[in-house]
Amino acid sequence: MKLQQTVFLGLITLLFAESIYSHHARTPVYDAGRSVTVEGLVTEFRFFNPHAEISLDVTDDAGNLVKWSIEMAGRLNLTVGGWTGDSVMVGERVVITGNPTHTGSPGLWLEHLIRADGSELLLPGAVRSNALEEERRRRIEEREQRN
Amino acid sequence: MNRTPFFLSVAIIQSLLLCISATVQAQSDYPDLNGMWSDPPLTIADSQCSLFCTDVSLSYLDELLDDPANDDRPLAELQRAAGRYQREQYFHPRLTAAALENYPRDPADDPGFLRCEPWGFAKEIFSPHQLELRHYDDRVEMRYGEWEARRTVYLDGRAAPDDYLPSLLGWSIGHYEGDTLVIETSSVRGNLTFWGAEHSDQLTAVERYTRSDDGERLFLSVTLEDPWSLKQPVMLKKIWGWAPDQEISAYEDCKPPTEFSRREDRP
Repeated sequence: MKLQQTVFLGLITLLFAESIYSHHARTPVYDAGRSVTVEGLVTEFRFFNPHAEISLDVTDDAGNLVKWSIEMAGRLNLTVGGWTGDSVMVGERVVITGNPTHTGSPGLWLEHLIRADGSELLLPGAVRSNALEEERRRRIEEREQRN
Repeated sequence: MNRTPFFLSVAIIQSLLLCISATVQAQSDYPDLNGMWSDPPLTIADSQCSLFCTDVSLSYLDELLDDPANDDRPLAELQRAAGRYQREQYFHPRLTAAALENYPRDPADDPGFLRCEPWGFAKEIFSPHQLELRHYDDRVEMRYGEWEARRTVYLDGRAAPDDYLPSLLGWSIGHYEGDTLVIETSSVRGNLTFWGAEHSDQLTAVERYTRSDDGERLFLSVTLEDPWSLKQPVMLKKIWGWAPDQEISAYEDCKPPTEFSRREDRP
């Protein structure tokens, strides 16, 4: 396994201004303006409230095993999107992209989870976002037809 | 033919019918808000009110969506812009000097984050995801997914006990006005709001719950007043979607953060 880290800075930082509306503050722990990608094996999936958590064994570029903690919205939220306690399996290889901690400790706030077969396990927010973007495309089309 | 059993049967049936009729009448005295509600239907307008919204944010979002210059911007970005506009144009002008001294509060100071303390009234009533409503003759029980919070709303108008101290969710009494459940709340302990301001224990609220004609949405319209933090009342809306298959799961694993940074310490 290889540790991959991709950092996106600049404009993205401006797009993700700190939200005081997030229902469990994550900005004090995670940097919402950056994204990091890691690949590893799942050792535990804790499907709990208020936050669910994946423990991930990642081998870094120097060959050292590093235990990462991947945090995400809790069971209350995930079940709305169809997730269950079996959505992520121990022993599964995954590629995870998320917001890194401010301190640089091996932790992420989950943004994307790609399985070994290349499919993405979508977060409920992404499912909602896709549906709303579809409504928006229709709205734009209707406006263009009117004009 | 023995007529006694026949008349007895008729009397029993009539009694049953009267009971059923009385029950139906009693049930029709209040709107059916009972059951499990959760995230609103997947429309842009509904989702903008999934936590709370104002007419200010809704109309501003409409403006952004109608402007072709924004067609390439992600919807989530426009929604955040509408939220910021609401904060600046709606909340900020309504806050007193006392509330503005510490506004907006750093999320790192939220006791829910720092110490896993459940949310107070002014956050909990807007909490996302599940809300279960159960009507009883003398009360309505409200159960929220977030923090597994429970409220009792007394329908008999009883006053809070003399020794009642301001509490996390306050003291609530309610009544029905046609199809609307109206709840009045007071004696709420000073705490935080979802819009980043503090409030005092002088906070009062009038919540109005109605169900859409198709039964698929639950609407909340709430007026909040607090002479310490608000120069004038704020009027907010929220929408849930009918979600009979959803359940409220245990809130069992809150852990205070072991590492975090305050806003002023971040780049």
